[in-house]
Amino acid sequence: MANLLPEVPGLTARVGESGRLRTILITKENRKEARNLTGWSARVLFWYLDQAPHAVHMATIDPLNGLVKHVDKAGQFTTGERHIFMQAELVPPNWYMNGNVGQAFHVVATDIVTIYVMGAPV
Amino acid sequence: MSRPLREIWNGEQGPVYRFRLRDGAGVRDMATAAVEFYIEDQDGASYGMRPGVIAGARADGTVDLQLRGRESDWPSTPKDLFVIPKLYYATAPDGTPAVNALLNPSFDTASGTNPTRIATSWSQSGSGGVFDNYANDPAPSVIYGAGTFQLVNNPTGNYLFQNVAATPSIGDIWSFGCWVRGSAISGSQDDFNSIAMSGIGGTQEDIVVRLPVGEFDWRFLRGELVMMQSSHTTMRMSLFAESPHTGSWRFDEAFMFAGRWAVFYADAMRIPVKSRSRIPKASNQLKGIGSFEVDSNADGVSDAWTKLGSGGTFSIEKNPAHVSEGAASQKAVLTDQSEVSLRHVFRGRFRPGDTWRASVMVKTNGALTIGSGTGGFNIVLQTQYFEASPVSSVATNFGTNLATFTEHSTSLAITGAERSELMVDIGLGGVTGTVWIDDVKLERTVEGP
Repeated sequence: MANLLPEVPGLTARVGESGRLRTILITKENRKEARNLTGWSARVLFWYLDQAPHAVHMATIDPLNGLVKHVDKAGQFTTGERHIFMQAELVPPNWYMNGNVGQAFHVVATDIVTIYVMGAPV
Repeated sequence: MSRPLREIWNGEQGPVYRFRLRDGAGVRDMATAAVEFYIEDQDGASYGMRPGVIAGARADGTVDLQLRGRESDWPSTPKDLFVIPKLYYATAPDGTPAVNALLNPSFDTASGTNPTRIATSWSQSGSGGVFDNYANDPAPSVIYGAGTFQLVNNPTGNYLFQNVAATPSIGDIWSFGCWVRGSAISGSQDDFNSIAMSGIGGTQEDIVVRLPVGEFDWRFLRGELVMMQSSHTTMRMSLFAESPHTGSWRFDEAFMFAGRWAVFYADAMRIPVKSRSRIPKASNQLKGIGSFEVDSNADGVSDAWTKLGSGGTFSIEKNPAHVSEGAASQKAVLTDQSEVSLRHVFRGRFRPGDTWRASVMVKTNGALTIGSGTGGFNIVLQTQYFEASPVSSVATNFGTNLATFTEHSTSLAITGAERSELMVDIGLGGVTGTVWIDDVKLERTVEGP
């Protein structure tokens, strides 16, 4: 099992899996308190090494807990054993106007999470 | 060595950095300061200036820098960016921070209603052609507070001014400044398109700073006047945006004070830009966003989309019979609205010679009834103003009786200057009935030289 992220339990999946909830905690700059994500939106991108993202899905927001929540979908883990990379892009509300949800006046991307995809039994 | 700032990923769109302005041991009150940020890459290529937007109370000294898409979206290997702050400190003759003599300098309070809404404490020399409204401006729509002052197609002899009682002596120095942005300003530079300061009483004397013409984003203009005449009783600051010019001007954070601007550059700061996997420009940039799957705040409009205008009933549709792809689509029940649309603003680097294509899948519940509402039932792709002359695609009208999801598309060739924003607008005006939209795509079909 690969664990490329210090202090993060190894993230794994098997080819063809779906339905697992994955969450990303967004903190304030102090890295302790959850950031309030009211009015934010997010999408999650998955890709293999040296390839363009092959799966991009909208995530849901748990605003008061600062969580980006995404349920694995079919098509994310499609090939054999290898690492897959996951990154969320978050869009805040438009603070300069009416607080419109996720109106893409700026987009911030999270750190990249590595998931090791294992083969599925045949 | 340049101090590093938080690194960003290539293609992060319009990231924001927040600074606190200090003056020695204390926080510098932004009531007496202005900040510009000059952006360069590691090779010294200039990306121009970005305004320092006052993020909280002025006394907090907090300033936001928001990068544009064209500064943070690199085609392949990204380059580090360098930020060079330029500081303007209003300084009294004794070297202390000067006091702004103007009331309501940020135009945040006003009386009347559009189109004759005038900022409190300011006066209009004539009548007509003046109103304030900033709600649809691209960010940052203001430098500080809740408003700017907007002048549109101002007629002859009509300008905005504020008088301040003052008795400067010969040799005294007064200074002024103001943040300004403009769109589609016609003509050439002259005194009818300017900001000015005047010593009034006795023999009047003036200093005039002419504004640019065409399209220009926020910039801080300033000037100073060394008094050569006596017997002034009033100092006046004026905003001229009048005939023969047409266009649309914004003014914010005006300063006028006895003293001079201290102007200096702070140390450069470096923003490392990291590589990552990107969605190729030639494929759909709105993956996820354009599929209307999630409505986090349950307002009926999918995340990452903004509903413009009022009226109609919007909801997320999960009946597979009315979904083109994925698990949901955007449903709208319309009753002949005017100027109602869904908009997504996508940031990035859009170069001259590029052609971008936007498309959407549309389905109707039987035949829609065509009404008189304006705004169109269509898809349009356009660029923002204040950056370069806006360009817009030819709108593609939707069919009004679409039993199955049908693709409609429009293409926009980028001309002129490099742009930072593309707006995808789904017009939903002028029809009555139920419509579903799904799978909005945005992709580059032609890559420029």
